Amino acid sequence: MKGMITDIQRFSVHDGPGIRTTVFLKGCSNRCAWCHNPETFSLKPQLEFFPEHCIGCGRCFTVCPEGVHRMEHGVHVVKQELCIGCGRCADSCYSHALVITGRQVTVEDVLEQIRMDEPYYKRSGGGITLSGGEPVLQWEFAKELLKQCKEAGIHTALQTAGNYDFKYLKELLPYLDLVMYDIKAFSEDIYAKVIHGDRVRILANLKSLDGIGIPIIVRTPVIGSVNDSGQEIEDITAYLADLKNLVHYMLIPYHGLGKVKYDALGMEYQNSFYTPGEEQIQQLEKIAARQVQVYNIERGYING
Amino acid sequence: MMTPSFNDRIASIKRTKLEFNQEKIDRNGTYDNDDHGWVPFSNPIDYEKVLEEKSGLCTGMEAVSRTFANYLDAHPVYIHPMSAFAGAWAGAAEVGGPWRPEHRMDEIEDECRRYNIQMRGIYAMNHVGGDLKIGLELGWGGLLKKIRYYREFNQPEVTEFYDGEERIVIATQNWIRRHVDYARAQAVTETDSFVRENMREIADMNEWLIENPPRTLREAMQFLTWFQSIDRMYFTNGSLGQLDELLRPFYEADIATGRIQDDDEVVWYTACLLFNDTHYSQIGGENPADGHDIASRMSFLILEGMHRLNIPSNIAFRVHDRLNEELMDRCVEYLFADGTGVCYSCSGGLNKGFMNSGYPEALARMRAKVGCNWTALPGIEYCLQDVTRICLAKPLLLSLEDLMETDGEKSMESLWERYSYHIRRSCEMIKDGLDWHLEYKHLNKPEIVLNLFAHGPIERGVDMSHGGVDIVNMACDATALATAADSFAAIEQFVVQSKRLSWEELYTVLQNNYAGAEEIRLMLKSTPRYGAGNTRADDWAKRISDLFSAIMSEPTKNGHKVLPGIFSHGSVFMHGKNLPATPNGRYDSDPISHSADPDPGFLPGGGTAPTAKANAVAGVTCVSGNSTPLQIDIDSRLAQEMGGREIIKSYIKTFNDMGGTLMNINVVSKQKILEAHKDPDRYPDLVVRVTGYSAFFKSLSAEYRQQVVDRWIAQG
Repeated sequence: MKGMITDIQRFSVHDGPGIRTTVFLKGCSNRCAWCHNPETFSLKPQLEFFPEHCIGCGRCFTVCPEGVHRMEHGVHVVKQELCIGCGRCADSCYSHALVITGRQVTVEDVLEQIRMDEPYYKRSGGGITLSGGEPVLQWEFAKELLKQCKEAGIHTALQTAGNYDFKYLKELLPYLDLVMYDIKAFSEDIYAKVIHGDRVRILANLKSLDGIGIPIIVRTPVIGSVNDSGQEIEDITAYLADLKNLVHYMLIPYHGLGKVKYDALGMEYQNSFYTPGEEQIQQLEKIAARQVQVYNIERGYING
Repeated sequence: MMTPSFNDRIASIKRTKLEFNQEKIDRNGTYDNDDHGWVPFSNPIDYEKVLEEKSGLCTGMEAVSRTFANYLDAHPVYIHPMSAFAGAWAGAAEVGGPWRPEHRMDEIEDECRRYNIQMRGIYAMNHVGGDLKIGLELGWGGLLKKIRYYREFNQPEVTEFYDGEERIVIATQNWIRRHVDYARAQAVTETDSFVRENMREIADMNEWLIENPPRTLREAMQFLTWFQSIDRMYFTNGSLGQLDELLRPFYEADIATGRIQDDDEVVWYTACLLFNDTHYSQIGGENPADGHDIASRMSFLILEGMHRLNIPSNIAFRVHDRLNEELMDRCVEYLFADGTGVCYSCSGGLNKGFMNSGYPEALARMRAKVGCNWTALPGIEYCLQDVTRICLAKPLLLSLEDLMETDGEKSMESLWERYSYHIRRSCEMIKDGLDWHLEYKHLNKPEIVLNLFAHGPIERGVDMSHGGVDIVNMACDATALATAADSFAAIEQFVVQSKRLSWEELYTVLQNNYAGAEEIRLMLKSTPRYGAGNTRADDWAKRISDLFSAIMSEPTKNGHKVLPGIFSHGSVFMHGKNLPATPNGRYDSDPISHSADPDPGFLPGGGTAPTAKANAVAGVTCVSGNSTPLQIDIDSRLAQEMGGREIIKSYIKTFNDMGGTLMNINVVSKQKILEAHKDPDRYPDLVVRVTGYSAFFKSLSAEYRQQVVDRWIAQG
């Protein structure tokens, strides 16, 4: 069983309880405009170019079968639209100016990395988290990985945004201890403008998930100029209010650290979002707390 | 004036400490070693140096003890008006060196340079742990009586040893007496009522302590203050050992009698002791008989004093299976609050290692953290740790040279065979030096201070380094493990397996320091690194560590044990300057890797992960009782988050479970460390644990600051 991942992050402390290893799977069915992980949008390997690292050795020109690399007016130009993701140029680029994001791995490959930190999971109550992208898009790979982790007694968590047929998520649930479910917005307008996902399906899947009985943490990334209004948060939390298995709700402020990745991928970076201030976040948390238990990573449960 | 609160007093001595630090920098420039507690007095100390007639040097017990006594006689007095204690030291006296010509081991110096051995242990001293319980029970007067008793009882043909020890105790008493006089005079002239009363108390306390053992906690800590001052003056190193247990009986007695009614008073005492010096000490630990934890209220108060003062200090918390959870929790809380704090000495690896070296578990449990990286049995074990190092990278370059000079087969096996030969030669040079040291040290610079606080030297009339104590465990640390391991892996991948380079080409680019060969350098550097887990470099690191450990563990020619460890101290620049370009892509003279840590950015993609780093270090730790420390820098964001403290506690405990020996942690934001590096004056009180020791960040040289910054940058 093989899957396409972008990274395996060890000592991950923000993706569930304890010390965890987070596996980032490639491919996303939402592709939100503010996403700071644009390298996870596509299911295929992609070439990243960091020109500041280029030493001008020219090796990439000779190994690329598609003519992606060109010298124009003394400048190394990368035609990413021609790239087939074969990785030959990146393999020969020792300065790391060219990097392939996305590699195909077996479940055993990932488990080997996961097992390295197993003693820390046991001590800290940690485990593994599948993130992305949208990990459920690679549900067969995810299922096998989660299954083997469960068999090894490793705590498992999934970060998902819910935009898929529920039957795929259902396949994973027997092997999950925790689901971290993103509701990025409630209003139809926001979905139409900046989220590619199916609003109705995302919201319905959350209710279906709740019916299974697995603990759920719902998160909303708060994006300045998109979903940072009190009404939006109130609408989301009203929808969450009757969930039986909601552990808590979290607001996660947007940050603009993804720009460098957009540049490296040759993608256009939409610069119209801003990071909401601490005061605004606290106000939104208060609004949310009227209906659900709200958790802040620095201040704990704000409902007391 | 109103009586200042205990916190006001602590704040006052902290302000003085910062002023002293600025004065030291203004006077001597930046310094990369432990801050210690020395006070920048206005004038140099004018003392008579006594020389041996025969050698014309200040060596041997007679000349050394007379000179040191002269130094103490000339040393100024110092009492901070807000301190609970008298005494401070100006710097180390120039005594006991160089060694007599017939005792110098100069003939192998060229060969040592060839092997990049810059610290041979020979000529060094201290780096052991005294048992301060001896002093607290006897006091200076009792120590004097003990010396006189055993001189009479043993009736040695030559009384030089006892005469010298007696001279030092008397000189110390005289120095204390001058403080008594000074405090009495201050008590008369001082206008501030608190200071006046404080001076009177200090005078009364020390008048008693000149002849008698301490009765109260304050007296006990004043005794320790005198000890650590003269210990530093004689040789700039030292430890207090299991500090909480030393002080617990005094604290409990004071509580029982009502002498102490406010624990904040004890916190003030502790802060004053730490203001006086950064002697190494331990809180928490194991009962020798059954391993239960020995932490007490005193452990918490020591920690509290460290936290409220928040200047460089060297207290270790002992991690073990039955540790005190509340004390550990407080340690991590203050680590998060202050950015630094205690280091974490781990029984998991230390006890197993000491038992592996042939000692019972009870003795392993008794060893305390008494130095930058080392533990020792206080007052029983002579070890000379942290002053002997071999370089693991230079022998690889010598091995390459060997291969190039012969027509024989060039392979990883033949390279390893030559490497093993050169590692053995490095170890032999260290061991011969240690034998030499144990033979002649006492004739040149005896352990004149620590002999008083050890079990045996006074009783036998024999220096601690020459049979005065029962256990002799010499030690040697290896450096540049990652540099060597990554180099072996690079050769294997690109010369042997993919044949992208020939042996000759590799040798040539190294000889030319990669000039015109940047692509080759980057190619070699791209080899999967030590620390990433299950890489060939990880295998090489383990193999190198095992080789060094096995060879170094063999007894010296004179039959002494040597405990191997892996530790570079902060000397990665010093050791790097004498090391040509290495096959891991490192340029000539660049720093070597730090201790057993993987190089920054060791994970694929250039990142790092604390778990990966801890796994790597635990995996290569020499199982000997010496230590292989792990240096970790945690972003302060974790400190602000719920559950962050639990995560760090779990992390430390897991390292202990895996056989780790010592963990040094800093917590600070990347932004702050970068700003402080750019403008050190902006954060004059920022304290960092450089390696085993802590220091004001501002006092470090630019290259040492860069070393700390590089670790943060590598975290991404």
